[in-house]
Amino acid sequence: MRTLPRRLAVAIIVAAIVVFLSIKLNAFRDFQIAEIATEVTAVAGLTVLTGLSGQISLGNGAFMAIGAYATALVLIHLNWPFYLVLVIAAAVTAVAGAVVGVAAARLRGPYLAGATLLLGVSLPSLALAYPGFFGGEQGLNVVFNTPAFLGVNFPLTRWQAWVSSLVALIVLVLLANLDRSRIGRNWRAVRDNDVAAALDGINVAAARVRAFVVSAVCAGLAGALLAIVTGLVAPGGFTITLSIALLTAAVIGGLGSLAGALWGSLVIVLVPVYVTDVATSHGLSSSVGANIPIAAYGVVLILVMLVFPHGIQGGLLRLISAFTGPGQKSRIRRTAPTRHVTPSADQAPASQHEKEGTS
Amino acid sequence: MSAEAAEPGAADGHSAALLVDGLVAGYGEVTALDGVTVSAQAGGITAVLGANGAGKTTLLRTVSGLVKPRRGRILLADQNVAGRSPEQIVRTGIAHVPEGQGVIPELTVEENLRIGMMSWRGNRSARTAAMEEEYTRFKPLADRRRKLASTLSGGERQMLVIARALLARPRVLLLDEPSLGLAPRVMAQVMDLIVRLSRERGLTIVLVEQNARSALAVADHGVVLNLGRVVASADAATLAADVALRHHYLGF
Amino acid sequence: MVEFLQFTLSGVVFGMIYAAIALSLVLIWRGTRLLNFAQGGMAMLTTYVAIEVIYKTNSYWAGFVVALAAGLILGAVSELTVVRPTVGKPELNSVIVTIGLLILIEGLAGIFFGGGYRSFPAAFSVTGLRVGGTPLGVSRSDVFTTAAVLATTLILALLFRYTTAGLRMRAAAFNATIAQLSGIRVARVLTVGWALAGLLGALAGVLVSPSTFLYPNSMDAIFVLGFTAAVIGGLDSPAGAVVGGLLLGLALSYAGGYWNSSLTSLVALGILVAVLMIRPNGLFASARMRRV
Repeated sequence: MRTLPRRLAVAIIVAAIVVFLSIKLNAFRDFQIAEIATEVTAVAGLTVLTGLSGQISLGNGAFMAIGAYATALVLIHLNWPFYLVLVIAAAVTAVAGAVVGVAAARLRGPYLAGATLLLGVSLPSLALAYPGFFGGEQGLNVVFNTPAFLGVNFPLTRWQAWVSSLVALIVLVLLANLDRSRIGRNWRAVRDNDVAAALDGINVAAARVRAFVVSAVCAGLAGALLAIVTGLVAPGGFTITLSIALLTAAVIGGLGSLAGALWGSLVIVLVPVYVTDVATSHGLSSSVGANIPIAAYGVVLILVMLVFPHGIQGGLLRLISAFTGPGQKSRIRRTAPTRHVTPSADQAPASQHEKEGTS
Repeated sequence: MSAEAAEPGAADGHSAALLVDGLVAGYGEVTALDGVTVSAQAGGITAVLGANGAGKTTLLRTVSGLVKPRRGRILLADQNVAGRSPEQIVRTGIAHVPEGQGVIPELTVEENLRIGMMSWRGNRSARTAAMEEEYTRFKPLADRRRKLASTLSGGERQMLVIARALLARPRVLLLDEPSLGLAPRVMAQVMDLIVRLSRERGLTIVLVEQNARSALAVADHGVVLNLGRVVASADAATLAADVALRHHYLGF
Repeated sequence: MVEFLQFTLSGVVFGMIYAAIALSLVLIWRGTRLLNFAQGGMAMLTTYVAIEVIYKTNSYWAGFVVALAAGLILGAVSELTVVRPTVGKPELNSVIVTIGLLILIEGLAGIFFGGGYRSFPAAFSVTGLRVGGTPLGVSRSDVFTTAAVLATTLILALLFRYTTAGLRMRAAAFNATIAQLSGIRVARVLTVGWALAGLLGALAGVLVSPSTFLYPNSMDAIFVLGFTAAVIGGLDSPAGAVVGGLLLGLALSYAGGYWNSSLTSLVALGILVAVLMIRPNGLFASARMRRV
């Protein structure tokens, strides 16, 4: 592929930037880099699932949990090297993703949303039900050290930032390739009109399951990163808030866009921290100070959606094309054309029948 | 601009009940109406004809407010209603029966009719009286008043949508392909009904029809659209006799 | 046997709460094709308002009524300010916007009312009722809960079926274009729909808070289960919402009682998956074509 060298070049440049930043910035910032990289890995998978194949998932946090617990259990019981652990995490979540994908293949829209939401909420409770194996509410502790060749003085946080960023970049490059491949085209076809896609000879169910598997693996890898970065895998880390945050990041960044996965992750990681900083710097403590960031974060989500309906990436592309003029072909990735019902106002006259029952 | 646009004020000296003047409208980047001027004489039937995509449906949707016009005026007896919402426009006296299923199948016949009176401010008894009037006019509807509208046949549904539109007490009735999907005999009945409405009630009717032949048979005046512009405007008999025009734009 | 009775009755009571949330979601879905993720949060906020009123006036019923009124207002305001601008935009935008609204509401609750757990009084006594010496596992309050939700559902159903206002709402939900062309102010109807949904949510909030305590996140779990109930019943069906709620309430009560209370959410997932396998659009879905 012509564009593969270009993607690799971009990836290498980004990696270099990350290395540079991780050395320049303090340990907390390194931790944030790791956090962002972890989010990007998960959000990228979700944006592919929802943006490219048109399947909404509010439960990718469950796949992250699976990846995290798999990582913790393998490290604790088998103590394998990390790259192997990543493979295990990916394999386990791939299977889980396939199972969920098959179960979800016939579901659409809000029904899929409801099912995945419940998945995200209920799966972590397994850890509470079987505390002997999963560590119960306290969770499992994960020990992760810098490798010997880096020397004893190499900060753990920097190593964590490097490892997570590397995984994130690899995932992004692979997803970018998938996006442009026949698989990606099939996903878009299924998303836009699954009946037409089937008539075209595309195996719709297989494409949908494939998308779930891909997004589950991404989330599983992110879960593995989460395990080694935070050192603790417990049910409390995989609440419904996590799954919702992933979707929020994907939509705010720009659904279907890998760059959008980055913007969205930056927003959900940095905005709450920033607002908290502002609040505490004004000397607000107690419940008011703790909650202003929450309220502000909600306002940010609302405003971004109202101002940038196609997410930050969409907004950026619009800005760019405004500067470069109409000659530039617009590459805004549109999501599936479903809009929610609005009375009249500039809709095409061809009646669009919305089928309530499917399959 | 169009080659033979009708003069605003219409040909016969009858005043225009509805005058569309230089209307420009479209969807997103598409311009479906490119400066359309149509005059519908009061109490008469004006047929709007043309091939698929000519802009006929868009014209009606713009007049009824479903589509916001970009330029131009929509004059209802000297009052410019362009740009108003559909809910407001129906209250000025323009009722639109859109193409296809205008019936709400999940509601009963009676409920569908009651919807027609939503723009009223009248009292209970006036509404009941009005509904009874429509039931008298349309016997099959009276027989089925409590049944779900989904149980009606094609022709009966068309009656229902027209009855509902009439209950809005319009001065102008916009009909978009009322004969679509109907058997020929039923289609004839519907056309018959349309003629009676205009003669008996003095209703101004704008009739969009794919079937130009039957439309011209009942209309007084005809307008032909092509690609969003008026290419011909004359009385119905003249249009029907113009073989070249018919072949070129109307397909017969 | 007694145990079974207790689980059943308690399941019905919780089922009614889920049904109320499910109904509010169905109301909004039918009218606007939107999922209101902030529904639980809105219910929590109105319950806080209620508790403040109760403290100030020493009257439970004053708080109850104010909560319902606040629900109406909050629903209408939410639709007008936050949701209306997303009309015509990609589908998921409204999801994120309501999520943003949820987070905002939870933050506001924390700011104005503090983050701690508050106890909320019940309408009537909470001592278990007995029939001939056998404990039923439910209290007078629980009976009130069931009755209140059923009564509200019934009133709304009658409103929809027999009033002109109800006809307006149904028409606007089934075919917004026809409704507009008939002179129905569809935008106003949507606002009313959200207001009524807010009322239902507020009702659920005051009825369930005695059991769950009140804190900014207290309605999150109830929302998820209410959403599940709505999906099980079919998002277009109010009857489905009630049936779904009851089904879920009963199933979780039995599962929690006889099996393992940590696994109730997995049981809910199992039920949901089982139902959706057979009917991908819920139990009461009808495979009809609808005009957009």
